[in-house]
Amino acid sequence: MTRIKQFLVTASLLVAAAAARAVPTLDLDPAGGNVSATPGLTTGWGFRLVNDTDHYLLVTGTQFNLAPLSAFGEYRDLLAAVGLSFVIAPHSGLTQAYSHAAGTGLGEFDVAATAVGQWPGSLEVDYALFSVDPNLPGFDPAIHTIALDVEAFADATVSAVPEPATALLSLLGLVGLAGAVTRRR
Amino acid sequence: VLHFFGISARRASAQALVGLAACISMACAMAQTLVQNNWEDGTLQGWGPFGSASLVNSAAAANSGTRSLLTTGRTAGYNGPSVNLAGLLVPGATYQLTVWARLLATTPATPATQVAMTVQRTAGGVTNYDGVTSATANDSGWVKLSGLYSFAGPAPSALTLYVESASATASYYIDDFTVELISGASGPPPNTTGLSTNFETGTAQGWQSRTGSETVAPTTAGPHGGNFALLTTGRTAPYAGPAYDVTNVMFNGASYDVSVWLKLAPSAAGQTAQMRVSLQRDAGSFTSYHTVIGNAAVGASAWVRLTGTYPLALAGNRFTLYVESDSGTQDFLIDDVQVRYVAPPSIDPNIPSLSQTLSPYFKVGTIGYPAGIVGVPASLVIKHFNSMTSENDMKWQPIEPTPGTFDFANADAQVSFARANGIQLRGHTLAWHGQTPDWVFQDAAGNPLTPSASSRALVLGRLTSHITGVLNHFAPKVSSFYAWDVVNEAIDPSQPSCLRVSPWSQLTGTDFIDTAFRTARSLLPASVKLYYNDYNTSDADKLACLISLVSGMKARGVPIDGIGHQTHINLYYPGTAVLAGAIKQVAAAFPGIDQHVTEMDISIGTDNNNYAAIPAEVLARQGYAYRNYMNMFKSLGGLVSSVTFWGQSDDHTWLTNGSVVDAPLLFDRSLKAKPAYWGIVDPRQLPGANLTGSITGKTGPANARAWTLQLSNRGPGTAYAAQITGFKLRQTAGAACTPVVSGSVPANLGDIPEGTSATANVTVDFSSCAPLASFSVDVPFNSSAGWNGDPAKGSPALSISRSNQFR
Repeated sequence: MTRIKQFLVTASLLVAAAAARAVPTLDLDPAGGNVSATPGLTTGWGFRLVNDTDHYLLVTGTQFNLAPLSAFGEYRDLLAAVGLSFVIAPHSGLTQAYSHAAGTGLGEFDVAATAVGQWPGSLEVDYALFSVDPNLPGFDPAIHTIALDVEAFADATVSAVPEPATALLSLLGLVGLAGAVTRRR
Repeated sequence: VLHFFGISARRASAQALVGLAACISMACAMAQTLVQNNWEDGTLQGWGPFGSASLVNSAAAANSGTRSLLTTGRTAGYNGPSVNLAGLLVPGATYQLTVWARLLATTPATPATQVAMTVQRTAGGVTNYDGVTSATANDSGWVKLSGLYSFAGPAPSALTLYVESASATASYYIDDFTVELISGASGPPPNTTGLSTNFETGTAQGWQSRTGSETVAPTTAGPHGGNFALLTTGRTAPYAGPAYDVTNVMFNGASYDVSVWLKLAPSAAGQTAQMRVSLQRDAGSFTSYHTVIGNAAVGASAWVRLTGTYPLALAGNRFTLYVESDSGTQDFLIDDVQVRYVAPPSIDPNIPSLSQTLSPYFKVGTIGYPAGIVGVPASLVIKHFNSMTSENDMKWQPIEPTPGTFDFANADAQVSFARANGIQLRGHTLAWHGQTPDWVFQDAAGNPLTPSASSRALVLGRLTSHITGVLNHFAPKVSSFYAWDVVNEAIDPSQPSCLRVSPWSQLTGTDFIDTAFRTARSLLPASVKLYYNDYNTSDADKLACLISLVSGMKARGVPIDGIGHQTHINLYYPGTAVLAGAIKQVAAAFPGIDQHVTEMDISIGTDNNNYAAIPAEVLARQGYAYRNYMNMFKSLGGLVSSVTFWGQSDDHTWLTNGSVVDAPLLFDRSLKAKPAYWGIVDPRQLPGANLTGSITGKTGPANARAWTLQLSNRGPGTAYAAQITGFKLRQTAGAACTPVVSGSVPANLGDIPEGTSATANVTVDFSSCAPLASFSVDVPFNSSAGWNGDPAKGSPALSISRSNQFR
């Protein structure tokens, strides 16, 4: 191997390593990923996904980790089904608010009617990276795939918030208890 | 030096020879000699008078050599020769003290008298006199005084050994005094490795002939597991058998789970022997024998497991584990021997409380029993439970064993404990076919009652009296009770009437049920709900009978408030969906009825699945099972208002009995949280809870494209028995085509340790598809035999679900 060729190989490896270090970042809306809903209702997350790589990012799925048990509710992926329209170009980002009616956002959570407390976890966005836009005619996954299946995470917590009437009843109960204590005195 | 001339606690003469032979064959672990005085140098060797006495080195008599120490001039029994042992002997250690004594020959002769070794010990300003041993001495020969000595408490400021006698004036020689260290102060065992021998190396793996006359050798004839067992032949006595020096395996002050598989050899076909596991303790020249696992009948047709927990509380310098028979000398086999250290119990104060964690959903109960409400086990109860059901002490037999004579001692202790610690109570149980004394169903002459109107009236009267006696007794404390199991296990679905055949039903039909509930209702406030309690309530036929029984009760106006589902279940039965279905069905049949889970435990196996050592994988499975069942109870929207576990920790469970060892509860035998606990409190802590999947490769031509599927375990712990159970493609873009999937799905990926991954390949023929056709793929996976990740077992689904996939 000549010295020039060796230099080129080394340089390309360094570039590749730098590209590998750049990873997409996921920010949830609301910030911090804490959402809440009355038991029996649905809540969800908007997001900003920044593709800081030199490649085209195609979302392939989202999921809630750890998978919630039915006593708390169920997560539903809103993003992956959109398909190839969710290609994020290199060094760009995509922002979308959550709307249950419009079906936009990263995902949503049906809080079970029996849910109590919080379900802490993280949201995971799965994606693939390609060296060209997969929507373009010349795209060939056999040639242009950079990464098949990688993921970005963000902390997320769902809280089941008692509906106001229940909360009011609890409050009244506390007031009644306080009254009882007072009377006992 | 061979130390087998001494005392043996049992089997004395024969066993002394046994010990001698064993010592020759196994190389005794020797005691360490700390002091040795033989007075052969002509000095007093540091000894002096204790009280009034004169000591001289004498050549007139000697037990060994030519000289000894003579004491004369004594004026009181306690006077005698003494030596200072302060600083040499330490608290908690065990020593063997030995001296030889002989009276001085006088004229007239001194009568034989008791000579004793005593230690004067002063610590913390208090002086104690510790007797070590004594023997009768005379002037015609030497007598040996030898005993084990240990003391507790602070290090003594003064420690003097002296030799005294019952005679205040006798003069005597002493010789060959020794102090030997038998064992140090007990503390944490130096190692907790235990012992595991399965003979699969084709060797005896350290087991030897105990007496030296029998033969122990590995054999391939019918091993319990693997290819080899250990065969003992040529036994000449019941105590002859295979022996293992466990001096560096089992330690004083520690407890061990011991398990040995046994079978008589084919030469003993048709015979049965009572066999046991024993321990020989050698402490200096002392030898004693102890039963580790008691006798069990062993034949030649099937392996029998002897198992138990043995707390070793013996000082000794050598311990030998051995297998023997009660009588007879049949050849026999042993295999798969395990000795496992059991950590001393202590609770973890920093883990979340079960009852606090589950307080939004239901009460969390456990059982009360005498040993469970004192010491460390009590701490466990107080921390984790807010409900208690007496395991046995409120049942008829223990509470009223003879007519009108009530014994509430244990029950009262449990009620007091509960009240003192803010724990509410479930009463259990007033009418049951079990643990009911015979007199309830007998006439005045002790003969069984036969069905008749008078018999019916008699037993219903007794039932009413019993319930009245019990409930009146607890009336002052009734505010601590919130439920009572009034009638227990009255249903038998194999009977056309659904009623279990028992003296109750034979003499009264369903009247005993009605009477029990009506009597209880008349004596208990409405705040104490009245329950019918039974097991297997999710079985379709049992459930149908349950609904029929309760319907009948309600139609007759019998005051029943709730149903208790005992929920003694196992990993294979009944399943979360089945149990949930039963609870919902009861709720639908009787709107507003209370339902409690009253005796829950999840057995790790069945009668055919008795583990030598319970695998961690099984405990992980159980953890997920508890997670799923508890999740199911939580999801029922308040239909279940109390969940009681039938015990706290695996050291006390009705499922462990005889040769069957189970582990059905939330805490282990050392009172430490099991995966079962974490499955309820924080399922993220379950082994392999963070098992994830991804697609890591797509290679090969279109007509044989290999997709590599990877499962990664982010912990904690191992993801056991990981499986990819399916592979489903759904086309989402491009001209319609039909990819053909082949390859090894379902795929078993085995155990995946924390921080590692495992892969499987699936081959797909995409030759009918356009190059840019895209698909969604769904690859379900699970671990812990499906308890993690299989919705059929009540788990949330785990799946590699990806869209926008090109071939």
